[in-house]
Amino acid sequence: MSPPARRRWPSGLRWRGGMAAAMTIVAAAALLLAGIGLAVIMDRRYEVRRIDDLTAQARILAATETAALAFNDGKAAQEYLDALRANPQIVAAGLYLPDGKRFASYPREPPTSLPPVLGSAPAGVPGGDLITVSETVRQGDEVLGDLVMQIAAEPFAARVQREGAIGLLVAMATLLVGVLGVAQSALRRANAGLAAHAEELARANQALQDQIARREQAEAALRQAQKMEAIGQLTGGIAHDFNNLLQVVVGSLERIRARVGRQPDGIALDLERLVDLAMQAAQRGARLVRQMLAFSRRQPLAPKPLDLNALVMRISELLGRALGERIQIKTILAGRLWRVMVDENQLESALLNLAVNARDAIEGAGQLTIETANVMLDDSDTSLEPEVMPGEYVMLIVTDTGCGMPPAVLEKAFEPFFTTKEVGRGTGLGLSQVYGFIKQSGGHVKIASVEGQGTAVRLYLPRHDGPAEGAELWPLDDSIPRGNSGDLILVVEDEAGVRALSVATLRDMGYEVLEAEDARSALDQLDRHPGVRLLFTDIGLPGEMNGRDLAEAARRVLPGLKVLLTSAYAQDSHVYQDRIGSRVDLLSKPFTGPGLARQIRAILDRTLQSDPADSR
Amino acid sequence: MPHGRIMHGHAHEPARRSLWTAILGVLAVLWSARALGQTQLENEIKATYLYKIAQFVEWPRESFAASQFTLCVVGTSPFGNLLAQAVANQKVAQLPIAVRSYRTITGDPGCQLMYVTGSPGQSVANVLALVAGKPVLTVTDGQTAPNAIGVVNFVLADGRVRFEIDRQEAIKDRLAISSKLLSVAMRVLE
Repeated sequence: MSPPARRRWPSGLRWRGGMAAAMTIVAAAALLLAGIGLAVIMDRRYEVRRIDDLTAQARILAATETAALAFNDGKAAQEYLDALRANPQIVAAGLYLPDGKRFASYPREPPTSLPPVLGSAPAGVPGGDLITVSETVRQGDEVLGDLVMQIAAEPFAARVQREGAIGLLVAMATLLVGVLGVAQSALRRANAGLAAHAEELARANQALQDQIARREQAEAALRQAQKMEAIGQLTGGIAHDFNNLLQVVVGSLERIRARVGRQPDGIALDLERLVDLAMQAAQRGARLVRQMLAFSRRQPLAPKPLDLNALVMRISELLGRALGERIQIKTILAGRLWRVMVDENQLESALLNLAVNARDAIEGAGQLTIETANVMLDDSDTSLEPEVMPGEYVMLIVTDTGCGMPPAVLEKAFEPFFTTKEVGRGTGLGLSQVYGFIKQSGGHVKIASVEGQGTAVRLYLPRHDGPAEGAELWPLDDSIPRGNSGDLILVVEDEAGVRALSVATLRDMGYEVLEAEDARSALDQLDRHPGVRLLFTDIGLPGEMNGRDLAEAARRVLPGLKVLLTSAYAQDSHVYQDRIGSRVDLLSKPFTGPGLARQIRAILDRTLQSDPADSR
Repeated sequence: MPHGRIMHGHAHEPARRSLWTAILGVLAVLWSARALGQTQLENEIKATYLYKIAQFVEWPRESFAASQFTLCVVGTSPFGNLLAQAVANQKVAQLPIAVRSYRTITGDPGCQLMYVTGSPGQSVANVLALVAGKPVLTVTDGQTAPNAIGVVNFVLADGRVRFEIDRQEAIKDRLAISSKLLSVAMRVLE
């Protein structure tokens, strides 16, 4: 998994944060500078004002002193100077005559800073700098003397103290700016966090919505699959019962036909015609049952490695003749097509069923396209299909340019007995056969249709690793092999009708036959008759043991015993090896007399030669 | 000279008397010389004060028809040419000062400032009466009689020349006297 990501601010946000911090610092610095500048300006202004005040006071005093100077009135002059006591800021003042001599002074014992003669340098200043202003005393145009006044320059500490208030205000303002900046930054960070949370929530919500939608789709698909499964079981059950009935009918008809030959010709012909009619009907019934079984995935399959391209080429020629001029057939075949392991006959039936549906959907001229391709299905393709495994598949697409299907029809297209064709034209089992067969072969089917444009059916069959095999399992032979009288066969079947028919057929062929209705009685028979060469048993038996269990138990008693199983639910190949490694053959119901005869003869003959199971 | 008379010696009594007279005479001469020195300084100060006082006084506009400020001495002048020296290069109301002397006057001679000393021929009171109500700043010296005191009256106090100011008289004469001058006056007659 990815390493835990450290939480980071988006770069824009980080930049804005830095910007805000820088602006805060700049603002604080500007404020501080402004405060210092203001303090300096105010200090200067204060100084200037003090000097102005002093000058004004000196002017007033000078004007007052004119007469005292003019008339040499030292007492009056002194009185005026004494009045300076009211202003404690004034350190010293001196009134000078035009010749420069000091006429009066404040205080009466003046500090050394006040020169005794105007213009002479002051003899040192105690206690810091002094500000000195002088003003000429005039009456009209006449210069009567000079007034000198001194105040102490304010010490730096006092000035700092005086401007301290401003400093404090500035410091507080700076602090405030800083606090605001920090608060702003924190707020922005919190906002960013909230935004990120909201985004995360939105994403989580979206993900949840997606999940809900996917789950709903998956549930719908599951419901559909369950429905199909239920219908399949129902159909399979009915088909099984019908199979047994048909088995009896077909078997009986065959025996009747065998006896008809011994009747006088006139009667024989008549009976033979009737038997043929019954036989045809029974065989049609058997076909229907096979399709029902195909849908319920219980038909016996004979899968073999197959090249679909070859099959499509062959069947497209057949279809070309069957569908006629008005429908053009087109094939698109992929190169290097993978092989599949599938029952060829069933696949042909499936393609025929699809072709028939296409023909019925196309009014007038149209086109049927059969296409092959290799495809990979990954998790995302299969997540909505509970029954489909991801992997490599060979895809077969059958597309027509017909009328298409509305969604409501499309939804039920695979259900058995569902048909849009008029009564008597369709059984409603065509697409069901396709569905059941492909599912039973480990593949799956997708159907897509647009009304007025056409339908595309995709068949996915799992890839098979191995060469194609053209060889037939056994050669077709119309002759019915006869049994040897020494060959003893034990027939085990719980259905009395079917058992009676099987026994009768085998006896007709010349075999010696024992019968049993369940596994227990079968084993008893084997105890009593160790000469039994072949056990012919139904898989579905009542009681604790089924046909396979019986076969194994029997082989423990009689190791050389040959076994032929039969089942209406055959899902396996015709030949397989049982749990102890011996070869087991399987005949699916409904079987015909000649089919049974050929199978049994083949098995029995095999024992005379080397056992071909080893070479397979 | 007295010495020669002592040297003659015709008679004791007259000789002794003559001696005392001579001693007294010498003393008198010495005293008068000192008094003369004092008077000299006093007069210099008074001459200076005259134009200085003028600087603290305002006259009605019409009294300055001439392009000069006229300072008159009426009666016996104690100044000699001291006054002329004192006012040389001085100005009053931006006008040059002209000094005139009169032994007696019979009417208003057109002076802005009149230093009245009186003379055997015309008393101070008579002169003051002649210019009463006129915009003339009258200055008298050490007068005590009420009708002989001008707007400004010099007084000698503690060995210093001070002055008194009669404001009633000044108001009658339509003269505005600066409060600064009043502040240094020894006495202000209201």
